[in-house]
Amino acid sequence: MTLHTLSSGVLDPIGSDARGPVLVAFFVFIGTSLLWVFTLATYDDDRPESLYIADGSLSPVFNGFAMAGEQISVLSLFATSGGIALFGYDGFISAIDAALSLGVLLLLAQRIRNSGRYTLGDLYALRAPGPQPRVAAAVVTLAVIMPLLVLQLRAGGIIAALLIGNSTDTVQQLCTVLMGVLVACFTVVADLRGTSRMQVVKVVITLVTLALVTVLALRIFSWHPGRLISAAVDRSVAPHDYLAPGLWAHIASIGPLNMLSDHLVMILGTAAMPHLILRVGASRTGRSARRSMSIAVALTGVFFLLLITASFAAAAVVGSREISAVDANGQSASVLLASGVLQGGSTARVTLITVMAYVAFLVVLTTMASMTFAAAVSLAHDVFARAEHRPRTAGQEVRTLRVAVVGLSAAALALSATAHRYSVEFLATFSISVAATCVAPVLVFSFFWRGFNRRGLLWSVYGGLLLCTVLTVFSTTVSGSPYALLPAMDFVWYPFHTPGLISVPAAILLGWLGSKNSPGDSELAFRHIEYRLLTGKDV
Amino acid sequence: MRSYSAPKPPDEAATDIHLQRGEILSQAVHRAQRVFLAVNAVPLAVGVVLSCVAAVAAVPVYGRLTLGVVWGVLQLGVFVATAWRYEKQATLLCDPIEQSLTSGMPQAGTSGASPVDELWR
Repeated sequence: MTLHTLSSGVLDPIGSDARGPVLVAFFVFIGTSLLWVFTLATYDDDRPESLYIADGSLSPVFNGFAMAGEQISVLSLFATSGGIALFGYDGFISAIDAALSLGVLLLLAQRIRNSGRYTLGDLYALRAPGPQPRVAAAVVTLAVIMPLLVLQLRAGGIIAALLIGNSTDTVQQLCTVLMGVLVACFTVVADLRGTSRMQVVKVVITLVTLALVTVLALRIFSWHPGRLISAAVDRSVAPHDYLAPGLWAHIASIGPLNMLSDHLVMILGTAAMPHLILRVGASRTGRSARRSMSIAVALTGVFFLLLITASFAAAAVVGSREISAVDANGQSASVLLASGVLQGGSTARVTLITVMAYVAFLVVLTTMASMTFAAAVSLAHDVFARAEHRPRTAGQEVRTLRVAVVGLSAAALALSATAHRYSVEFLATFSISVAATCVAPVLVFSFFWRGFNRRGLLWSVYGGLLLCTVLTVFSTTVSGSPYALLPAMDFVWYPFHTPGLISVPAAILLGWLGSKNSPGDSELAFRHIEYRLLTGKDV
Repeated sequence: MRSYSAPKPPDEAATDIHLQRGEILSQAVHRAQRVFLAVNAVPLAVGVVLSCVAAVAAVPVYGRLTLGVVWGVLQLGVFVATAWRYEKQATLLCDPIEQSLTSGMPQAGTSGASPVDELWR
């Protein structure tokens, strides 16, 4: 097994001047987070709905900001910005797809909230009551969230190690463990209202910081965006191909169908994440959910525009080669830009790096907490609380939630530390593909097709999940390429980067076929369901 | 000969009226969603084609900026603008119908909910 060389260098791009303040910021961040944790721990509310969805009481603006915060993840802020800085157009188009994915949720949010359901299991049970769909939902939730937890925890450790000025493997693993423990401590006592407040703070700080580094980068190029783009192109690894498709070789080399698959998976999968569905359920009404999504779309649009500009600025100011020397995937691009826009050891430079470090820590904490919380809610609400022959009290359900948080965090931490030196990019493609295959089609069928029923749901979900697993295992992300998990082996027979091109249409077909083989709801029953989905009330 | 049907009980008649008005709401919602989807589908389709045809996406349109990048930024702008328009249309056309249907009924899943975060209303 070949070890992956990602981020194993000992470069210190931050410099000794900023290291002290960044370390202080790191420890202050940990201190304030723990203080917040202890404050939350004193808040004693054992009602599950109060913890899971804040009793459905979040206003459109507040929840809109929090929903925008969910879009500012470790993957978007670090991986996407790295993709843009290193690979130009190919990274840029994945950022555009991530922004557009909110459109899917914008169209579904009102119905999700009006259904009065907030976990995937609840939504699956809308048209297919019984324990089997709920178990299927819990399986899908874990299949979507666990890989992302592992991946983001690892990325968080790499960024934290870079910021404290020591990017050796040992320090990266130490930082991963430290961040993981902090996330577990935070999530185990947090509720949705608490995490929402942190998301709102994150949105404001991140947007201001990105705007600031972008303005400072423009200042270097005499306030001329054209010169900034020219410099980004000139300092890229391939100036002729930087702003055209094809530089990110493992994405574009297989041709148009591969790109189509990536677009499909990115747009459908990013929208259908369980933690986003949970957040939609926290709105006061269906209308409020729709408004919060509209606000989130605007804020996310601004975020991605700033991120794209800042990423091109990173390529222009720092240079693609220098960025990839620190980290092969370019995940440090934002941090390096903050380090490069101001020269020398000035107080302003040190402050900017410290603020960027704070943003990075905040993004890791909130993203991980949000996902862990959603997965734990799914286990407690869909599996434990619905177990047959064993009625559960609200207190027991909440205790299960806490135990699930600890278990999930420990598993993610162990996997992340184990997989530290391997290329685990396949985890991201698998996770987003499962969401695109097993969640998006089922939600559309459940809301819009009268004939959809339990058999169709189970065929669609399990068939889609099986296809995603098999196609990912035999794709170039696992073997047969330099960036694969097992680069020395080659058992590839599925040529595309993501399984979506096959798995999404197959899940739709299976859902249709399964439903055709058994009776669905009557016309009148479906009209009642539709009425509920449109108004939030029963007739 | 005149056909005869027994008059429906009051509850059933009220349910029918609610479902019929729900149908009107459904049509209004679908209309707003169709416009949003149609306006975004065209730029998305062009964007996907551009990302698949490198030679076209690489055509410079303004300085070093290529057609692919400019199109992507325009796509993002159209998306945000249409989301704003969708919200406006839904507020103007769909929400009044929904409110007329639901006035006086409790909202699903929010019983006992206390409004918080008033500053953010």
